[in-house]
Amino acid sequence: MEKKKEEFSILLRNCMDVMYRVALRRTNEKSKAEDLVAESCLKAWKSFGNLRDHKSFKSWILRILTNTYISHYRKAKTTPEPIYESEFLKENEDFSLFEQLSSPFVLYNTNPEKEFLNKIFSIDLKKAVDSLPEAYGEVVTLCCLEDIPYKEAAKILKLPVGTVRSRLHRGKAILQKILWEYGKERRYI
Amino acid sequence: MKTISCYEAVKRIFELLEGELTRTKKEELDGHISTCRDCCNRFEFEELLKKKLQKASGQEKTPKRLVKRIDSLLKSF
Ligand SMILES: [Zn+2]
Repeated sequence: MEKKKEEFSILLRNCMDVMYRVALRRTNEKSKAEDLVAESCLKAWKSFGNLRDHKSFKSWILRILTNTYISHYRKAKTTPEPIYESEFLKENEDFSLFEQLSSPFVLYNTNPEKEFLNKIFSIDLKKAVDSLPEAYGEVVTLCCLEDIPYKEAAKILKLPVGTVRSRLHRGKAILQKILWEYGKERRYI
Repeated sequence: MKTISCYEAVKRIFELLEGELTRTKKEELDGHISTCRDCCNRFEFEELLKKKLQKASGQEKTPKRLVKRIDSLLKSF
């Protein structure tokens, strides 16, 4: 029992930050994110005995966290999701910041793409990720920000791998479109 | 080695950044990037953007209060 508990603690400690970040991006509120992590830990401990391969601990516990979020927190959400017109999504599913920035109309310096990235604030990058519609945000968070392979993300989110891939592609395009809009607002472009 | 189009190269740049590119496909991409300036710039841009996004969102560490809470939770198991 003690040995099992120690194993669990070590594995858990390695995943704590990623759990917290995923929880925070889902709940958008620190105290709720903390509750979600704690509750997921409790659930994970209860079924730890069923986990055969400890190498998959991270995706296993993130799946528990996702399920816990869906069953408790999503229901309790009071603020509605930002509404993205399907028009907006459709129009921008292939948007590329690079292509916009390197187009011949933006010729104010020799390397406008890098210039843009040097100027953009961390806070804007974070805000852009947070403002993604949930279906895209969750995939971008896992695959792009936390470097979790498609296959594992698919297991965590209970989605087909193909859906993960296409949502990631669209999610990144929308993210770049949002950054483009921030850039215009702040006159970087 | 197979030569690939810019369209294919861009697709592979994203797969590479997500760690989803096989070795052969990566070698073909490397070959393309070494001779195509546009795709080389594109790769540098997407790589830097990803790093910036990760940095901006990876700053969030578990708060001490939560670490303590989990510690006492673990003790209670
Ligand atoms: Zn090319």
